[in-house]
Amino acid sequence: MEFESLYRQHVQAVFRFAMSITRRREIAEDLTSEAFLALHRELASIDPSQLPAWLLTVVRNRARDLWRHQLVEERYAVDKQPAAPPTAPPASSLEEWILESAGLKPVHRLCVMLRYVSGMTRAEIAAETGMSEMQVKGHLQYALSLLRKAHGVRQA
Amino acid sequence: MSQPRDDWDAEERDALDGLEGELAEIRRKHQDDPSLEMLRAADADALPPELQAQVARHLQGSAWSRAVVDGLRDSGADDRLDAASEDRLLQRITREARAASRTSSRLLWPSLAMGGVALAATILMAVMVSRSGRDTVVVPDSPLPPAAAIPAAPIKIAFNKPGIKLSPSALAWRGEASANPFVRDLTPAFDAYRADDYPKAVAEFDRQATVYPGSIEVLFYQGVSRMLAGDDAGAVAPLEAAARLGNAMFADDVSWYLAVAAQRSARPDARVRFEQLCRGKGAYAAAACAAADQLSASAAVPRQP
Repeated sequence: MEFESLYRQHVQAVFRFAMSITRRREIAEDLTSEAFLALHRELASIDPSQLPAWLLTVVRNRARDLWRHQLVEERYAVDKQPAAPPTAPPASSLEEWILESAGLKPVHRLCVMLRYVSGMTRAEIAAETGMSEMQVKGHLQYALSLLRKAHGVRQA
Repeated sequence: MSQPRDDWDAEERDALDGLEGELAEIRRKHQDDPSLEMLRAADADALPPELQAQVARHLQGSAWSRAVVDGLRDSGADDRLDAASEDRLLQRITREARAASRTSSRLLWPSLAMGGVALAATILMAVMVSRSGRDTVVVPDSPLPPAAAIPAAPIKIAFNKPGIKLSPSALAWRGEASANPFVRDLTPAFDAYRADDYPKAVAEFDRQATVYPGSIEVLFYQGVSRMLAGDDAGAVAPLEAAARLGNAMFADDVSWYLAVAAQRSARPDARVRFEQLCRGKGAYAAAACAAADQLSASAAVPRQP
């Protein structure tokens, strides 16, 4: 099978995977491009039945390389290690509500977290999640309507 | 984690009235959590191993960060390259592949000169002439030079060796890690698995399956070890048993490897399994969509929406 056929067959899956790793479109295109360049180099020795898993592995490894580079540049390993798991119970009844309210789907929770805790705009949330701003607004409105009810009950 | 911006609308201000203090407390508590970018990469196992392990440990203990990851999976992003971008990217790859080919050709010359072996020089010169000749006939932005044909092979969906992870219940031992009986009993099996000694890993996991028949780790790695040892059909039963346990931490992995084992052992339910995974939002959704497309293409039957 020729390279272009393989490219056409797998490029969307590879790009989708790259976007799931980084929401930056230009970086996702770079990762996709590098995966297919590697395929181009190894074309004669690659069994097509190994695709697209082989391509996704290249993307994953390139993403790790980018992180390594970033870690060195930002000295992440020293200054920005992920926090140890917080063992404390929820900080407040509001945190408990965000995490456990049965009416909220995971995407509602995420919108609430990013908007009211991380302080993002709706446009930023849309960019980070792949949703439209209207979808983000809708999810927030729904979550706030539930919060109003819950907050009212707590205050009563 | 940044401070909230002063851009809330009236509805938001009304709903959050009186909750500012609690929000500030939540912000303080999670200000050092891994970034969204890091959590996203960790979810795709795309961080350097040490950082991946740190984030995994954080996730085990942080319901907040787990909720962020669940939300990202649930957001349903369907990212596609449009036709123009797809073509543009192909042209870019073609150009870069051609440039790399020319560079490697040029880099051969100095080594030839230093070699000083006339015969080798003659042979390599012939190669160079042949390569540069090919370059000269390729016009910019034209389709790729004909690629080597790849022999057709029966489709077998490929898979990667999964890393070792343990469920929280397996890690709940309060004593010394080395004295944890479950971890101790599984060590020979995992050692063999790490060393790529799959026949030994299969034997060890088979033995442990009689001791821990309800362990997700034993059943999952027993199945995967059988796949890696080339026994795809034999992997199906332990992976089905693992699926029945319904362990959330392993659910995606079990579904993917079960679908792959089913496909590679020519079971008729394989395609449906890939399609189910494809419709979900798990870590293997993209690979499952691609696998389903690949199977559909090979069968010349369109995939069910």
